[in-house]
Amino acid sequence: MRPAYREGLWPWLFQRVTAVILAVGLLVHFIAVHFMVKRPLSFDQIRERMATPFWAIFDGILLLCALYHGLNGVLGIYQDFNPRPGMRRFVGAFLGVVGVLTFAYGVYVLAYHVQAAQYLALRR
Amino acid sequence: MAQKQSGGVFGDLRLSSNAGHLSYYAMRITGIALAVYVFAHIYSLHFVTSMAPTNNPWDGINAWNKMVGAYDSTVGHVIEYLLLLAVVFHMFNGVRLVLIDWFELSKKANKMLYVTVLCMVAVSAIAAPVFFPEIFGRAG
Repeated sequence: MRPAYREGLWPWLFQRVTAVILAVGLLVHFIAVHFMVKRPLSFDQIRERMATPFWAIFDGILLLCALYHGLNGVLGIYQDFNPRPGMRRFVGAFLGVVGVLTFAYGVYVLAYHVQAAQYLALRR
Repeated sequence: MAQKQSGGVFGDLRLSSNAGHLSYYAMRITGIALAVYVFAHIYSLHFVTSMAPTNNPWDGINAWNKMVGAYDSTVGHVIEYLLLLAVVFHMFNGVRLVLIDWFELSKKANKMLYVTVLCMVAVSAIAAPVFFPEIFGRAG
């Protein structure tokens, strides 16, 4: 009998852990974004929120959890179709690479949000 | 070797459409939609980086405003509302699944699904005036 960690314990557990983090974090994210928005939305309205790094870091953690939860979920759906172990490992590695690259790009985009917001905040 | 399932991808839904089975399919479908949305969201917001080549922040800010302003149309509101529906169902049902897993509530699983759908309908109904000010007036 194989140990639990060889049967997918950690992905199962982290799917649930990231789910709880996302459930709470997305509510906070939605409330923070929504209650400063008067349509039409413009960058000016998020200037104060994004000028401090706190929200950028919060969004970065949220992105990490969302990417893990989503891509792990997609891998789970793929596994439901019973692929060969080699194909499953390949798809898992591919999704992992996609996740890492997307997270890196997301951090880059967040950094520019902070930079633009600080520029706006200094001008007022 | 994997056996080819008869009836196609949704064939088993016709054989056993009980609450758990329907929730399984709905979680998968909303999950894929939300996973795609993550990339679309990053794409919508990445326009602020157009200040990178010119080092002029207004390039980024104006490009961001233009992209985000595209969501001000009715189509944009519909997309946002569909996103809300997918998120609310996936989140509420996901919380239900975590509660079942971690607190051993399997016996109440189907009843919890009714509560979940009720909460989803309530939240969606309350959110509709906020997302569609053109229909409901400035009730948001």
